[in-house]
Amino acid sequence: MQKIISILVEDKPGVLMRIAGLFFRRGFNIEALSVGSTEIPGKSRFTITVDGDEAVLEQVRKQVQKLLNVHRTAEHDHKNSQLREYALIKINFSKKIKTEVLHLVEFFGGRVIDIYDDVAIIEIAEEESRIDMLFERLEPYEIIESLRTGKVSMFRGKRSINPQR
Amino acid sequence: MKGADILLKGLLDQGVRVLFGYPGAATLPIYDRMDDYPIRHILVRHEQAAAHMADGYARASGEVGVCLATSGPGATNLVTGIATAYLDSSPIVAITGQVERRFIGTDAFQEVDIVGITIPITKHNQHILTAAEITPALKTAFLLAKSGRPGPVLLDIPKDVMLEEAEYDPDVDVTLEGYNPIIAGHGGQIKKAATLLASAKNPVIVAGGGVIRSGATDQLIELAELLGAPVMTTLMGKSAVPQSFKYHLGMIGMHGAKVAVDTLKSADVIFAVGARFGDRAVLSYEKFTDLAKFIQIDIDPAEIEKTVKVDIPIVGDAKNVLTELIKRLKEDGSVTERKKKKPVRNLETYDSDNGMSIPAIVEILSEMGGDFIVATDVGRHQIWAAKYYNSPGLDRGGFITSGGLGTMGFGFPASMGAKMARPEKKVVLITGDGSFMMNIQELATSSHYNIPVVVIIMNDHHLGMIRQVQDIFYDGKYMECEFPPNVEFVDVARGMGLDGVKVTDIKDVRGAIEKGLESDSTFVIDCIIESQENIPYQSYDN
Repeated sequence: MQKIISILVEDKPGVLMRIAGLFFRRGFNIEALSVGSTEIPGKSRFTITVDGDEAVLEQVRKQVQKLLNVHRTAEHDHKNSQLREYALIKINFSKKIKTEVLHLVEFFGGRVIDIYDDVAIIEIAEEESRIDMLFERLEPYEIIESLRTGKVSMFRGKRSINPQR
Repeated sequence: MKGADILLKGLLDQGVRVLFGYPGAATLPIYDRMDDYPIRHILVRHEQAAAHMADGYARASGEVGVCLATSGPGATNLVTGIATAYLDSSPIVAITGQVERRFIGTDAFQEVDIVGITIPITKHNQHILTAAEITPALKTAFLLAKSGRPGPVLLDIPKDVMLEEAEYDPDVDVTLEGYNPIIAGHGGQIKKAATLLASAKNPVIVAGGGVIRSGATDQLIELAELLGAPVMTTLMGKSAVPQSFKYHLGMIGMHGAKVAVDTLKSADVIFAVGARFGDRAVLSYEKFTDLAKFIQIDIDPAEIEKTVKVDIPIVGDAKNVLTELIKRLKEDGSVTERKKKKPVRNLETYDSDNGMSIPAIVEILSEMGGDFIVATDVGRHQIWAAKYYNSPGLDRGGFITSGGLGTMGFGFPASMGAKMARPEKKVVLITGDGSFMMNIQELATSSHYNIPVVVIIMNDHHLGMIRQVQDIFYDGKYMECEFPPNVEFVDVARGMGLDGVKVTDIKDVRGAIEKGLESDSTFVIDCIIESQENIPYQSYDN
């Protein structure tokens, strides 16, 4: 079963290694991982998407919580959180197809951020399933290069991972 | 003040009076300043032994043991000792030298990423980048090592940081935002546990190493008496309750006492205190889980339900939780009215055939009934010692063994560390010829500093446990488990300035041990074992 875990950590070298090591030791493949700064100075937030047995995942979460640099862990799902992913897609944008591509991109909530040599870069920040669909629909138009950041997520309402709130 | 002075002064302020270490180029700035501080340095002959000594010191005293090694190979030689302490929750602080900051990451001479290497086997570790960081890092290390679930902490300090000038501020505040061990148990959970225990027909208590760490022996005894419940221990919990306690049934697990395992099978509630349900203790998770309802107290939330589904988990310090639980049971009153079962007391004893066998020798040591610390190495002798060593003098924490990692070579240096921590106590090591050989060089250290240990070698010229496993599970095909009788251990001891005796007749064992106990220096008793008796396996099958 897929789980999305947020981890609030001290922004120090080696924290990624400590966290990733715990998942690795239990044989979990981290499907996606994103890290970035937060509104709290000196603290970063990891979002980890991982697939595995629930009891074992719970054990990993407890082990992660034991790390000194980890201040909070929390679990997200569709009910309690907004889950988003960001993708960049470089695609053939020749005259013949550009109207169709543009139409698709707009329909799925993305936008063109660069055009150069008949090639466009598209960005989209959406739910995973919608990004999946956009990829599917763009496939026939020759995707040259793409990347996805993996999920990030935030609780709905007042709930926060920040222990001060 | 130089970084090296800040470190030494900081260690002194943490109450450290002895360091177990081995110098190298990267730690020379520390050694250069050492004679200005009242800290005794024990120069080991191998860094692995320094870590085990610090561990033995910690287990025997409850204080933090400290070891010191140079960068690169010195640091990696500590790894086995650190992992041993980690698996058995022993509080040690390991300090390693690192190459100068400007060389870090260049594969410089004797450079190794010891912080990376020890991430999975330390409670925490830190690479220190400035002299100003030393004091807060050291305070954090000691706080972490001994609080909550104890464990090893490693600090890695580059050589030039040891020479860098900084202020020494002993009052520097270390607040650890993400670290709040839960000491008191949850009231609601304790209430549930009390209700379940009061209604149980056959409750049993399983005591683990956490009972020793938290000093909860008195509370455990009180609870057992209140419930009329038998107490059994894990290997790590062997000296959690006095051996003479009327409800004590011995050890559970793969090689445990039959009576303990049988009693577990008939229990309706299994109450684990400071025990983590390790695989050697529970035999089979599937069958174990079917036995009864489970209550588990552990200070580490990650140990709760790690392996076994627990009906009532309680996170907290064993002593605190048991105190609250007893209070509640007494207030409730229902348990005191319950008809208590008579304590079953048939602790295992060995049916001696008068031959030179490991259990027979362990029984002789038990009969001598001394108030000493007993340490073991790893192998058949360890299990026989855990099963049959049954001295009334065995006090809490008086049995020191490598349970989780099963480290051969642990016993002798750990014994020396224990002796340093508790000089008033006699320390007896039960070891095997294979295990003893793994850190035999420490005879020189023992001789150098006169740290007396009675070493009883159960010399069967075999890796006895490996032989047993090959006997039972590999159709008796013995591969590479036999040592030729080419080592005269007493001669080795003599070659390092010590004495000993070789014993080939069971009649001479007691006299040899007495001689060892009277000796002012380490005394090696080389017991030539005749039998290759297998240790019985326990199972939950009827």
